[in-house]
Amino acid sequence: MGVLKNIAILVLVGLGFSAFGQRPGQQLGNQVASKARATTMQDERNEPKEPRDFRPSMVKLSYDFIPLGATLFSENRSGQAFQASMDFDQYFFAVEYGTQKTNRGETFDYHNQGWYWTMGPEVNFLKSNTKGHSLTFGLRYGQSRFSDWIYFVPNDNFFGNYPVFEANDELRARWMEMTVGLNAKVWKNLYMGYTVRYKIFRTVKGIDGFAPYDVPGFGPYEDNTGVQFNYYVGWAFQWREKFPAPEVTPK
Amino acid sequence: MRTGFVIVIGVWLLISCQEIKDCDLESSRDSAIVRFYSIDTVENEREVAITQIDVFNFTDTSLRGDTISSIGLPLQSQTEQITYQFTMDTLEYLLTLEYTPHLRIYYDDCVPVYSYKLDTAYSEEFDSVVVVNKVLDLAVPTNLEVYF
Repeated sequence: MGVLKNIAILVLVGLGFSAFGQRPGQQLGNQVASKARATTMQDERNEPKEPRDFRPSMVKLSYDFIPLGATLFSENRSGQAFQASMDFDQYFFAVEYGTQKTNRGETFDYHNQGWYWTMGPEVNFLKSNTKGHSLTFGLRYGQSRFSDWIYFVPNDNFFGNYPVFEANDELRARWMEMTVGLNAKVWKNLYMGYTVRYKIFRTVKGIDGFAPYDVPGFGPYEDNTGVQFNYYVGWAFQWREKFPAPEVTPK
Repeated sequence: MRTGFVIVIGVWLLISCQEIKDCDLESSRDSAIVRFYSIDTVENEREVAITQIDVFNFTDTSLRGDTISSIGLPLQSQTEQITYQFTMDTLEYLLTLEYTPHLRIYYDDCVPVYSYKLDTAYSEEFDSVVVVNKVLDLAVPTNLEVYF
């Protein structure tokens, strides 16, 4: 208790010294500066806010080069993916469509093919960037429809080796995504950038007696969450200036 | 110093996030564990001398007879019902199992695995058949209790 009291006294004394330690002129200067800051903030508050302009200025059509890379260089996977996004003030609304085909297995033959789409809003943290760059965070809802089949011969010690063929003709999946994207305007209306997605809340309907291995647009079925990287190259079809140059009144 | 720390943390996170792709982690079982009990003294397992166990509709499939108190009855993935015939002395007992097979592929490298859910079991010859656990798993010691 006594120690605490001593510490409290020391702190109070220290604060007192620091207050007295300031020169009278410095104290006056601090007061003037804080008054000036308050006045500026007051003025800013009184200034009429510039109205937000939610009218869209462009549609950006992009192509995902990651599935293209898989199509060209992977024997087991192929697909295409496109994205369209429209701006509303500092927000975007994005829609994506893609197809995917996979072949898997060393001890089995598994084939999966289908299509998917996702859509959702994005917010651009670089809202005043007049060059058109964007750093976005977004939420997406995704769905896919697909079918798959598997063929293999199980090594059954009791019933012997017999061929197994199982198929899912019509599967439907849905999930949610959180996205972070960085997009840059590189030349005229040409944009390049990447998106990283974290996928959650995956559900699949239509499974009979065979759980699918892949879910197009999501990833492996056994993983309840997924991470995906996309690299987009796109062109913006712009019909008006988002940040028009201020009008200069001739004197 | 700071950059090195960030790189170490990043590599550590990357390694931590890697899945353990071990095919042997699968714990499902492809046979139902049956335990025999005397109808009079249900607390004690009953040892029975079985001459032979055959599977209906499957040729060349039989289990060797023995004196046993429990046995694992294999299930077949391409059907949802199987009937076993137990020959004890000169008497024959039929036991039918109905189940749902489910196929899963865990990883590219692993053999696809069937897991089974036991729906029901019945017999006209045994006094009573009780499904005590529907899941066929290595952690489950008993699926069926047979009283006679």
